[in-house]
Amino acid sequence: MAGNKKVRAKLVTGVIGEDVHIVGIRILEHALRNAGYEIVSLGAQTSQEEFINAARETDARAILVSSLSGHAHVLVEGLRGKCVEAGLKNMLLYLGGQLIIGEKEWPEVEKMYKGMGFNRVYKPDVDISEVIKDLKADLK
Amino acid sequence: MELRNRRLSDEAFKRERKEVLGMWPTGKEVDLDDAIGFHKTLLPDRNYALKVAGAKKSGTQLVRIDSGVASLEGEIELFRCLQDKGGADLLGTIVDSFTRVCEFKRAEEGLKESIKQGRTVINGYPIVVHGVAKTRKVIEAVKLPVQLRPPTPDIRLVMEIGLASGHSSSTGAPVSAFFNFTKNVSLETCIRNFQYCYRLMAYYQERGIPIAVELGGTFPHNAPYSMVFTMAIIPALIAAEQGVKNFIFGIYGMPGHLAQDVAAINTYPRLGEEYLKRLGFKDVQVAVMASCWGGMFPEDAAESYAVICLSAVAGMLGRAQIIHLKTIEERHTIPNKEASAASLRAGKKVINMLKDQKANLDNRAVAIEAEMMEKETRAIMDRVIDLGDGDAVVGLQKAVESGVVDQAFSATRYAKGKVMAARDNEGAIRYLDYGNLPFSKEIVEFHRQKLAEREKAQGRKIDYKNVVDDLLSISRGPLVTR
Repeated sequence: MAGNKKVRAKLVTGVIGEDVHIVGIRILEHALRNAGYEIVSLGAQTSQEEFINAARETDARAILVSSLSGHAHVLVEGLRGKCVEAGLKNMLLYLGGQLIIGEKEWPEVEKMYKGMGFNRVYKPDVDISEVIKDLKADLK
Repeated sequence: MELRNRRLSDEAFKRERKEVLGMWPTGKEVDLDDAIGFHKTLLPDRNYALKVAGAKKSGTQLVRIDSGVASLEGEIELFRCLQDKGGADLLGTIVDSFTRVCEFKRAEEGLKESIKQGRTVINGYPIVVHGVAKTRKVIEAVKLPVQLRPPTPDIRLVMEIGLASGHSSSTGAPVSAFFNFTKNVSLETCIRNFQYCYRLMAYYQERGIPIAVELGGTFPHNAPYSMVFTMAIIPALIAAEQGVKNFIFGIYGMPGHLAQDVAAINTYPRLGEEYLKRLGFKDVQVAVMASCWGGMFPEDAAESYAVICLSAVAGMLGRAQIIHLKTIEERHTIPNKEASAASLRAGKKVINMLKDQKANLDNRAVAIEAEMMEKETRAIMDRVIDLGDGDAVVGLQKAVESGVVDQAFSATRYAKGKVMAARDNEGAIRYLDYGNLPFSKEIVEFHRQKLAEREKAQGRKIDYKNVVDDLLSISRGPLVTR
């Protein structure tokens, strides 16, 4: 019945930078909603400031950043720092999409982005159920 | 003042050019007389519009693949490889996504980093930062016509540099740019920017340099054809008003149902030309470009070859003037040039095997698809023209506002976003939700029945999972996910 369904945490989603790839994030949002999360959907072309402001204003527990342009390292630099500055030091930061151009070993890519402050870093073909599993674990 | 479909006056054009060329120092390199002179040295073999018109006349097919890397040397090497090892007939310059949104400083930093690292770290060729003189070296390094390929709302400076450096065709249209390449830029701004770009193309055209505009643009990969057609024919009317004469109607990713794809290749240019003529633009050249599937590609190179070759088959059966191929490494972002060359060779092999046969599909199946997409396109186009009282710009704005022109999965926040599509039981694209599109009962019923066949086969109503599966099926299984 209405009211019994437990709503899990609020999650901010968006595509960072000048990037307009929207289909992937929409599909992710749909799956997350089905899993009971409330989504604050910022859409394409979202700046770091917009992510932070939305997370703060909505009391979100995680920011899920999508990046398909191949140069995410340029666009996400400083995001963790901004979280800390904004008093959001426990904010979960997830990153997924097409994070690099060309050949690079995945462990190296993952290490780089974790070094930039992301809690989880995903390959382009990640199964969404894995993301949901990780969220459940991280949000405990 | 209300925005209308009117040719930019010489004074307004001149004034705006000053502003655009001032956006980055390389704008100073653009001199139209000098550019016209340079283009004359490229005629006729390295002129895109002329080569495509020639293919139409002789009934042949041209193959194109696109690419873009950061450095000048890299881009020259890449183009030469695609020409010599791949056998490309046409080339396309992909502009990096920072340049596409006029973040030229970032593009410059990306170029510097790319040179430092010895590999491209941005996703295309930063044409504005390189400028006219350097880019002419790329154009002159090959014997083929080159097309500029930016898809975003403000490509005015990109177009200035691109045309002046020797590109003789460009993509770009306000509708796909608005729906898919921006969140916040208004439709009005998109229209105004493209009126400038088309006016610039016309400037070259009127001085003896034919420039072809390729319309269409990137859409969600399950977009129904009538939606795609409408979103290209409306900009064609806007371009024609500015003085553009050469039109390429582009299909940016055939979804893979052969009869539907072939019907689309046939119907698209025919309807495009009809609406151009109906609105008073008589001396126009029209062609069609059929592209390989534009969505997610298979991980496996062998399967990717199959996808590429099937698109070449469809392109041949439809007799498209241009067949645009992707690379087997499509899944791996910026591919290496050897892979792209190999992909081209595969597609060309298909063309060589089919070109003398006049092969055909079951005409009935193709005819039914053609009939429906024509009815749907007319329904939308006639309403748009009506809304604008004959003015395509006014009509377009009113149509977007009311959802008569609409699509799923838009990047823009100003679209209605009500339209949704799904594959039917054979894999053809059907309207799942036609939103506010002005469709007759006959059209609505046709789509409903086709989707009902799939619902019966799968034992449940078409749902969001189907939509997602349909977008991913080519990458991982049969065309219709069971």
